[in-house]
Amino acid sequence: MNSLTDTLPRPTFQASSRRLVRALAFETLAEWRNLARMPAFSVPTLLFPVGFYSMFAIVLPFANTPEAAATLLVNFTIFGVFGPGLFAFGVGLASDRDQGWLRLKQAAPLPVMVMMLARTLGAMVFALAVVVALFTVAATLGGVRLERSAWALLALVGVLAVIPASALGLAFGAWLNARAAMAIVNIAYLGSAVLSGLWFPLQMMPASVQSIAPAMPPYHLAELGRQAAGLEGGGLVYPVLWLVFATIIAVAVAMPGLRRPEGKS
Amino acid sequence: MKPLFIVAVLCTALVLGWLLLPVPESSGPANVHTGNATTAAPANDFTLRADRVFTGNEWLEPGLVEVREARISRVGNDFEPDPMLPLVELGDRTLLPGLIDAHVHVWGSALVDALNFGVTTVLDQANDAASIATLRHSGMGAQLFSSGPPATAPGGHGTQYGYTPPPVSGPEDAVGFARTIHRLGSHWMKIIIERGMGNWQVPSLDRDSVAALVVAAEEVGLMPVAHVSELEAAHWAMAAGAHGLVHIFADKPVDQPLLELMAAEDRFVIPTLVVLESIAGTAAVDTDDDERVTPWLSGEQRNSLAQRWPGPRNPVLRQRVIANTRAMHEAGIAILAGSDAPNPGTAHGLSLHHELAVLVEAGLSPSAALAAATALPARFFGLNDRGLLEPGRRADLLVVDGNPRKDISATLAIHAIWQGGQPMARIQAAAVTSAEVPAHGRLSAFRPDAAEAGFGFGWAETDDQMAGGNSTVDMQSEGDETLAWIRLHGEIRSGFGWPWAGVMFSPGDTPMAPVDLSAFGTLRFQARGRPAELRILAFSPALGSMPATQTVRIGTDWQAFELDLAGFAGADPAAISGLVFAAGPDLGEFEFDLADVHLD
Repeated sequence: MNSLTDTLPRPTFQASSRRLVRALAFETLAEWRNLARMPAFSVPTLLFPVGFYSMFAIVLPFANTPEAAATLLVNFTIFGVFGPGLFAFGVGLASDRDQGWLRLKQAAPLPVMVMMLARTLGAMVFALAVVVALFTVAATLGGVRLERSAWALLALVGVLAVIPASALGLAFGAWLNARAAMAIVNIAYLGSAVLSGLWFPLQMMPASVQSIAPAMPPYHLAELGRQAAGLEGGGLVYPVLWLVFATIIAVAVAMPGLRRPEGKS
Repeated sequence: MKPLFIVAVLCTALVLGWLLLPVPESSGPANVHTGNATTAAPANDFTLRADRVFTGNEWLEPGLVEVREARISRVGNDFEPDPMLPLVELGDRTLLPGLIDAHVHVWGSALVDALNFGVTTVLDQANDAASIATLRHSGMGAQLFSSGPPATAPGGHGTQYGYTPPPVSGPEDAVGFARTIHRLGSHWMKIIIERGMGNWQVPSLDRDSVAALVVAAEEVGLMPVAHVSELEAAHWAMAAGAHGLVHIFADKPVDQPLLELMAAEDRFVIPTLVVLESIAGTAAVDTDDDERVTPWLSGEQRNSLAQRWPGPRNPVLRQRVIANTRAMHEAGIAILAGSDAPNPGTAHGLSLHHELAVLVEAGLSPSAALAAATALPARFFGLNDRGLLEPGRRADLLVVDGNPRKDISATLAIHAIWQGGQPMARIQAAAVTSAEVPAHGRLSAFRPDAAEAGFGFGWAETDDQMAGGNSTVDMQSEGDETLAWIRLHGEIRSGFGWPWAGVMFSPGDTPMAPVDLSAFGTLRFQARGRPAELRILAFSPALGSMPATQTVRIGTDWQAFELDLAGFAGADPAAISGLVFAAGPDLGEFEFDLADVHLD
C-alpha cells in the first residue's frame, strides 16, 4: 500500500520498439558488467563448475567410459549454468533492494520487465561463458566426444536453463534480504545439485534421495541435457512442461515479494 | 557500430570453437548411446584370418577381420591385409562375434564367469538397480545391460530376491513405475505375468496393468518385454504390444493366432530352454567331465550347476517347451538365446553354450543358433554397436577350435576372446592353498586391548559397502584378565540386496585364502548383545561368493553356542576361506559381543 511503486504514478514510456531494444541492449551490457565485476559472483559461478568437473572427470577416474565422460559433462554443465541466473536474481535482487537500487529502478523510466529481461540476458551470457569454459576442458582434457549437433544442443539447453534458474532466483531475491539470500541461495544451489544427482549418480544414493530428486529443477534440466547429448531418449514433453510450470510458480511466488514494502523481509 | 563489431567477433569465435569440438571417431551408430563400452586402454590394432568367419548373419570361408582402436574396421575375404598391422593366422578355427546371453541375473562373479566362456555381453532380466550400477561401474567381465527392477504384483514373482521393486498394484501405478525405473537407469522394462504352478502360487499382474505398463514403457522410451509361463499370459503380453517374451511357456502348445501375431509384428522370444529343462529335471547336455569346460569353472559356476530344482522329473514339460520353440522358429519368429543363469542347474557363460545346443535340437540350424546369441539380441535390444562383425562395431570377438556350423558344441572349444579389441586371458579355477592350522583350533586370542587371532590373517570388520551397500560396523576390544571379547556395533542400512555388517575371521595368511579345516567338526563361541539373530556365514571356493549360513539367537546375557561345521551346507571343510559373524538382513542398529571362538 505505502510502497513507492504503488503511490507514484507509473511513468509512461512511449518508446518505439527500436528504442526499447536499444535500452535492453545497454541494460544487458550493464548487467553483464555488473555481474562480471562482482568477484563474489563471477569467481564461484565460473570456477566452481570447472573446478568440480575437473576433479570428478579428470583427476578422479569417474569418466572411465565415453558414456560416463559425457554424462559428467552434462551434469556439470547443468550445475554451472544453474548458478548465474539463480545468483543474479537471488542475491543480486536482494542486495539491489537493500542498497536502494531496486527502488530507483522501479521508479526509473524503464519498464521493470526490461530490467528483468536484461538481467536474464546478462546471466545467459554468463552461462554461455561457463559452457565455453567447460566444453574447452571437456574436449581437451576430459576426452569427451559428442556429435556436433549434440554439442550445440547441450549449449542451448545450458543457456535456456537460465530462465527457470532466474525465476527461482527471483523468488528468493524478492523475499530475502541480501545477507540471508547469500546463504540460502548457496545452500539451495549446492543442495539441489547434489539431490538431483549432478555430483554422484542417483542410483548410488539412498532411496529417499532418489525419491526427492524429481522435485529438483536441475534434475529435469539434466534429463534435457542428457537427451541433448544423445545419451538417452525419453522425450522433451515431461521435463519441459515441468520446468515451465516451476518457472510460473516461482514468478507467482516472487510477485507479492517484489511489491512488498522496502527493507522488511 | 563498435559494440556490434565486438558481438560479431564473439559470435564468430563461438562458431569456430564449436567447429573445433571433437566428435566420435567412428560413426559407430550407438557409441555413446548404449555404451558402458569402449575401454580407454591403448589402441590394439590387428588383422585376423580364419578358415571360417561367422559375421552374425553370414559365413565367410575363409574370412578376414581387421580391428583398429577397439572397433572392427574391415571385414571380408578378399581384401589385402594392411602390412603395417600384425596378421594373426587362426587356421582351422572359427571366428565369431562375442556371444550375448539375453537372459541372466548377475551378482557375485557373474560378469567375469560369463566373459571366461566367451560371453562378452549379458542382458540382465531383473535385478536391484543399485547392484547393477555397482557392477556396471566395476568395468570387469562381460558388459552389462539390465531391465533393473521388474514390474510385478505386490508379493509377486520377482519380490523374493532380497530387494523390493517399485510396486505395481494396478494400471494407475504404471506411469510412475516406468518413470522410476527410467530414472534408475533401466535399459528396458521387464513385466512379470506369473501365477506360479503346483505348490508355488503367487499374485500376478492383471491384464489391464500389463497393457498400461506397455504403454508407459513406450512413453519413457523403454522397450517392454514380458516374463510368461502360460500361453494365455503370452497372448496378453503380445496383444498389449510387448516386444518379446523372455521365456517360452510350458502349459500348452502354442496356438496359431499367437504365431501369426508374433510373426507379423516382428516380436521375439528368449526360450531359456536350459533353465526349463533343468526345472523338468531332464537336462540333455552334460559337460561335467568335458575338459573344454571343467578347468575354467569358478566356484560359483560349479555351485549353481550342481543345484537342483525341487520336484519330480517332468519329461513332458521338456518336450513341450522344445516343441513350442520349434513352432515359433518355423513360423519365422526371432529366437534369442538366453540361459537364465544362475538358476539351479545353470551357470553363467557355460549355460549359453548349452542353450545353443538345445536350440539346435529344437530345429534351429547351427547358424540360426549362433545368430540367436549374436546378431538378434543386439538388434532387438538396440545394441547397435555389437553383435555383428561389420565395420564400426565393437571388436568383441570369440575364436573357437573346429566348426560350430557342423557341430554346435564346438563353441565350447574356446581358443581366444577379445573384448573391445583387448585380448582376454581366460581364468582357471583358483587352487586351494593349504596353511598350518594349530591343533588348539582357537580362532580368538582376544585381549582387552586387541582383537588378536589364534592363527591366520585374523579378525577384521566387514560390511556390505564392498558390494555397494551402506551398512556400517565398528569393532572394539573389551574385557579384563578373566574374559576378553570384541564388541561389534553398527547399523544395517538399505542399499544392497542382502545387507550385512559384522566381523570376519580369515584363517589363511591373506584375507579369503582357503584353508583346510577338515580336522575339526564343531565351531564354538560365546556371544551376547542386543537380542537379535546372529548369522554365521562360511565362505568356501566351492560356494563362490554366496556363503553358507547358520543362525543363532543371542540375548543380553553371555551364552555358549556350538555349530556343526557340516551344517554349513555346500561349504567344503577342506577349503574354508572365511567365517563371518554378522547382523542383518533386518535393518537398524545392532550390537553384539563375541568371545572364546574356537574349533573342536
